[in-house]
Amino acid sequence: MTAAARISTAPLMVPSPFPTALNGGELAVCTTALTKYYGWHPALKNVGLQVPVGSVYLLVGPNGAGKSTTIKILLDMVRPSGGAAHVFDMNSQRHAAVVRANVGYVPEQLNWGYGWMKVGRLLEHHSRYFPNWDDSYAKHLADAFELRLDRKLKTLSKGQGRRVHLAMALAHRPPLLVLDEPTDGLDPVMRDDTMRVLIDHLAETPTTVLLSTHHVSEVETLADHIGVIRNGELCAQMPIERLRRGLLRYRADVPDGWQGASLFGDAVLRRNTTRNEIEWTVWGEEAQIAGELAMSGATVRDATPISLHDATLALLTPKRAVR
Amino acid sequence: MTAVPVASDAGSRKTVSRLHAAPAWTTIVLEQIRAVGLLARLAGLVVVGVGVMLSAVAVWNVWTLRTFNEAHPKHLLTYPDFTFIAEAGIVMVGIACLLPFMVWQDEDPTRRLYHWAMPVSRPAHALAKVFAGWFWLMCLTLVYLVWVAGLAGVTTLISGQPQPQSPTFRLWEWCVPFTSATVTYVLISAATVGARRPLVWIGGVITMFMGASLLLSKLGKKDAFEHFTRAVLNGTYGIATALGRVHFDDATQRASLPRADFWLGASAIWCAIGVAALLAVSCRHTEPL
Repeated sequence: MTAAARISTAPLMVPSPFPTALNGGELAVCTTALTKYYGWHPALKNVGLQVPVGSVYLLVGPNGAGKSTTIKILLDMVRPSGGAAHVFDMNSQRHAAVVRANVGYVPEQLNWGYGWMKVGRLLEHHSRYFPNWDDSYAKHLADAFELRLDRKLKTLSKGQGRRVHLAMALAHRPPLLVLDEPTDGLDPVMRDDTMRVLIDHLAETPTTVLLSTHHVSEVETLADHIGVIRNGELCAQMPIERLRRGLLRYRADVPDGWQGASLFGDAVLRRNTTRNEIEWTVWGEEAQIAGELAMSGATVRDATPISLHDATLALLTPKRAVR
Repeated sequence: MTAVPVASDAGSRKTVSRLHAAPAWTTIVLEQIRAVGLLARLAGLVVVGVGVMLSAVAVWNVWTLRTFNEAHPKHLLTYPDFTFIAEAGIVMVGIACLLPFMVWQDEDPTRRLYHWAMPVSRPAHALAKVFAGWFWLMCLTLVYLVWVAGLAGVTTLISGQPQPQSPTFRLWEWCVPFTSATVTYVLISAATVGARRPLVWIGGVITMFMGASLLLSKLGKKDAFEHFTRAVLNGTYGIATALGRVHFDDATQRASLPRADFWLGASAIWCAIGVAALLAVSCRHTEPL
C-alpha cells in the first residue's frame, strides 16, 4: 500500500483547541503535512512545523512522540512517507547536502562510529566538511566544554560525547542549530555551562534554533516559540508569549452544588476542584473565561500565568482532573 | 540575560546571503584519504613489520646457504627463488578482503549517523570513503611489489646467482596484483556498505550456491549448473581469472596466467559488477534504527 493510501485511511483527527500554525513571517524550517510510517505504525501524522527565522523554537513531546523523527527528516536521515520538509526554502530531500551544510546538529543518540578517533582529530576532520568552520571559536568551545582532545571518542562518557557534538555543531556558526536533547547526560554544572555557551553563541551569531528537550525549565528564558507533538501529531504551535497570555491558571470560589464542572470542554487542561474552590488551567481569552466563570456562579479570585514547564506539562497531559 | 535575536530581525534576502556552501568534493576525498590512512595506520605498521621480519629471514637464509656453499663447493645447495610470480598477488587479495571491514568499522548501515549528517550527498560520501580505502590498497600493493622485487635483488646480490624470470612471464603480470586486489576490494566493499551483516550475506551467497548445486544434483540437472558454475568461477572471464589464478599448461609443463585479453576482460567484467553493486547499495536510502 502506498503512503498516500495509508494516509487516506488514517482516522480523522480531532481539531486541536490550540493554534497549530503561525501567522506569516519568514520561516527557517517549514514542514507540510509531514507523515511517517514505520511499517503500519504512524510515527508522524500531518505535522506542519513552522520555525521562524531567528527564533528559538522549543519542540516538546513525550518519548516516542515523533520529535527525533521530525528532526531526522529535516536532515534527510529519514525519508517521510508523505508531505515535505523545507529548510531555508530548500527541500530537505532534494538539497540534503546544502541543508546539512547550514545546520549544526546534535543528535539524541551518540553511537556515531569513529570511536577510534581522538577528539582533537575528530574536530579537525569535521572542520574539513564545513568551509565556514571557525578555528579560534572551535578552540574557545573546546575550552568552554572542557574537552580532552587527546581522548579517543569511544572512551568518552555520554556527557563528554554530548559536549564534543555541541562543539562540532556550534563551531561553524550555522544559520540553523538543531539540538536534540542537547543537555541529556550532562551533570547540572555542565548543563548550566552549556546553556551559557549557547546563550553567548546566540548573542554573537544570528541563528535559528530548533531545540528538543525534556528539560523545559532550562530553556524557559531562551525559547520564544513552542511546538507540542503528541502521538505523532502537532497539537500546538505558537509564540511562547501567546502561550503565556492564553494559558492561565484560574482560582475561583464556587458555591455548594456548583453546576459549572463541564465548562470550556477541551480548553481546560487541568482541573483541580475541591468543594468550594476550583483551580483550573484553561486556554482562552482571559476576559471571556473569567466572564463565563462569573456567569456560572463562581467568584474568580485570580488568573495567573504559569511557568513554561507547567504549561508544557499541561499541554502534554490534558484533561487531567484532580478532585 | 543575553538578548536573543528574534524572528522579526531577520529578513529573507539577508538569510539567503548568509547560507553556507557545501564543501568541495576534492576536499572530502582528500579528508577521507587522510582519515582512512589514520585508521589503517596501525594495521599498516603490522604489515610492514611482518614484511621486515620475512625479509630478515629470507636474507639470513640466503646468507647461510652462501656460507655453506662456499665451505662445501662439491655439495652446492640451491638458493630459494624470490622472483615475482603473479600468484604472489594472493596476499593483496587477502588484504583486500579485510580492508573494507576496517574502513567501515563501527559504521554498519543503521549506525552511520555521523557519515549521514555530513554536508555531502550520501552516495558520493560512501564512494569517497570506498575510494580512500582503495587508494591505500593500491599504495600497499605498490609497496608490496617493490618489496618482492627488492627482496629478489638483495638475495641475488648476496648469493651472486641471478634469478631470471620464468620464460613464460609477461610484463603485464606485474599489474595483476593491482587488478585482483581492486576486484576483491570493490566486491567486498559493496557488501560492507550495503549490508548490516556483510559476513552473513557473503556466507549466505556461498551457502545458496552450494545448496542449489546439491538440489540440482538430486534432481539430476547437475550438468547445467556445473557448467554455469564453471563459467562464473573458472571460465575464460570467470572470477578466478580476474583474481589472477594460474593455469597449468600441459604442453609447456608450466603454470601461467591466461592471455592478457582474458585477464583484462575478466578484470573489467568483475570490477564493473562490483562497482554496479556498490553504486546500487550506496544510492539505497537506509534509515537509522
